Amino acid sequence: MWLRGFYLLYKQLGKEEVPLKRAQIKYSLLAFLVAVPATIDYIPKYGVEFYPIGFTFALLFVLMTAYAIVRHQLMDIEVLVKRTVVFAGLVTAVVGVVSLVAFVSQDVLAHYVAVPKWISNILSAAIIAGLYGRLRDWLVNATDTYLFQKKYDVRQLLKKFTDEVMVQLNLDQLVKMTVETLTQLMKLDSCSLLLINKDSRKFQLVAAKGIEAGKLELDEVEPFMTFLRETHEPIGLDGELGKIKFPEAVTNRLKELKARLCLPMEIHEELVGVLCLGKKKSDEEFTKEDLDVLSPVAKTLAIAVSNAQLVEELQKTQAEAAQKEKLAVIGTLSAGINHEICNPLGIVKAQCEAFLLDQQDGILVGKTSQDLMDRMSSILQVALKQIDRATAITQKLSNFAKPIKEPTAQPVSIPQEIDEVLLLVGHDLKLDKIEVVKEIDPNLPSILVDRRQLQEVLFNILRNAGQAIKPPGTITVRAHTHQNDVRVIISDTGSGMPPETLNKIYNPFFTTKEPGKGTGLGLFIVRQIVERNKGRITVESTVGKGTTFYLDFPAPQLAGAVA
Amino acid sequence: MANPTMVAIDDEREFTRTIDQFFSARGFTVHVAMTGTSGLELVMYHKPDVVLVDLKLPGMDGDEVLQAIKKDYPATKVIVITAYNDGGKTRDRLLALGAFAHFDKPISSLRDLFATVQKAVGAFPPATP
Repeated sequence: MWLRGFYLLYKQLGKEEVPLKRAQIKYSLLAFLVAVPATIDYIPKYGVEFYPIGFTFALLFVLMTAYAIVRHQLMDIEVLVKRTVVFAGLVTAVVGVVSLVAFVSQDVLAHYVAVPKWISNILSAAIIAGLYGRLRDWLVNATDTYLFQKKYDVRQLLKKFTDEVMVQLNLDQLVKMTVETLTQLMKLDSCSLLLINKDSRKFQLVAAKGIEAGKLELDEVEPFMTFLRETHEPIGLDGELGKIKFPEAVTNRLKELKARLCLPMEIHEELVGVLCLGKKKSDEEFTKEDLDVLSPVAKTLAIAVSNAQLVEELQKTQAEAAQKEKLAVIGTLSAGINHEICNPLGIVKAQCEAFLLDQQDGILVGKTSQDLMDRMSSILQVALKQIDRATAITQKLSNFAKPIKEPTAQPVSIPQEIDEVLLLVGHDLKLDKIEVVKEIDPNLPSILVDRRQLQEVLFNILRNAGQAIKPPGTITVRAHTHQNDVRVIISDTGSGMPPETLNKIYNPFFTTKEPGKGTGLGLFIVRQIVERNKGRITVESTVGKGTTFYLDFPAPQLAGAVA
Repeated sequence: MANPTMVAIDDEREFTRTIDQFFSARGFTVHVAMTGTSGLELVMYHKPDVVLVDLKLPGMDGDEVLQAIKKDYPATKVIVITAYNDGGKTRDRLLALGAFAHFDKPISSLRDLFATVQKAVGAFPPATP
């Protein structure tokens, strides 16, 4: 009978695939095996003199069975055990406090002063009252964490997902938070996420916790992926899913991903990713209830991922459009820029050549060496000055033309930036017979913006102002403090805009300029940049009189002074 | 024959100074102006043989100066200097308007400019037969 029992247990151990069941069987088998030597205690009954040490094995049997019950749910006594542990802990604590206080007050302090018993009783009661709630919570938590790891709070999981994870628009953050949250809240050994790369049509491991898969890439036609795509159903090793016989190629992938459950992530029936969940720390199986929670999580995750991808793409397109617009604007500037670069070069060249030709043509004959030295140093001085002039404009231009990678806020002086931008557009305006008037408060506090983005904004508005004017005309640039902001006002005496045009100026691709003169993205990008830098842009316009743009940027110093 | 006379108009002071020095040293009488309007006054006053004018000038620009000179003093040769490079479109337009020659900025060589100016002056019929 005994042997038969052992044999059945052993056979089941070999067959059983569910880790929890395996563990239960393993501990039962071991416990019974350990218990066998306990039978030696019966030997004295048959007259053989022998010290009955068998009880130690019996003790081991009880301990092992108890461990299996608690740790591997050998029997369904979890609630009982949990309550008991908490209760025992609380009783111990209460008794501990009372005896400790009694000991300290009656035995230790009594040597020095007589402490009435009622004082120590009240003290004990006060300490217990203060500690009780916190101690109970801690004990419940501790038993949950150390003895029963299977329970996770579905509400907490869903709340965290809808409130924090799904709203992430940064794809990287989204996938990382997903695996972190699932691993933590469901108490998993591992979790990973595969997403399709739309260019290579391969599923790439984009986030993982608890596995070292490195750079894993799965072809979309391989069996694991094909299975998920065609069945639209999860793959798993537990519960009902565990009864399905998956092809070996599929289960091998599961092993590689250390996953016991893989859920397809689909958008409009199209597989875009796979959410893989590893073994629970409690060795428990994934149940039908788990699946009921996780399937909608995977579905919403697919939507969140797709949103994040769209936002990423949109940002990329917008950055490209902004750069295109900038280059287009620079193209229309070339006359002024050319003037500012070619003139200095022409001067340097003419001065040097004139000296050499004078020498060749004998014009320098008879000059004193002092005369020659004076002329030479005059030429060199002119050359240096003109080289600096040309260098300054090329530097400004190349700084301006560079794409802005990461906007960084820094303290920026408005008067300085206005001067820099006027250096770029000023020549064009001058050549077009447009006067620029500056009325700038010299004591303006600095504002916190991305310097080059601010230049781009000023540049665009000044350029538009210049183009709106039929020469001659005037552009007035004013800057002063306005409440807690620094306000920049750029007005032109140009043609102005009717209200219906004014409503559309920030629309992308809206332009009133001739083809080739504007992309229609200038003010669209200007407004985005202003808002990204925590500023506001407003406009007023009267047909025939001109247009005024107001730019307001918060100045931290001003806000600080008020507070 | 008196020294040939030149009026140079450019808003770059250093440039007109160089032209002044260079042509003065080679027997020209040079008058310089920084704007089209003052340049035209010099032309009216000195009636030069040749005028060097920058195309882009604040106020009245090279185009207008050229047309005014051609209207009132058709014998005066006008050489236009531009910082534009638009594939010869501006050049053709200026030549059609009566410019004697056209130079890009920076001027390829003062030697070339001098040769062209001399040609302009030489093509001018001698004052006394």
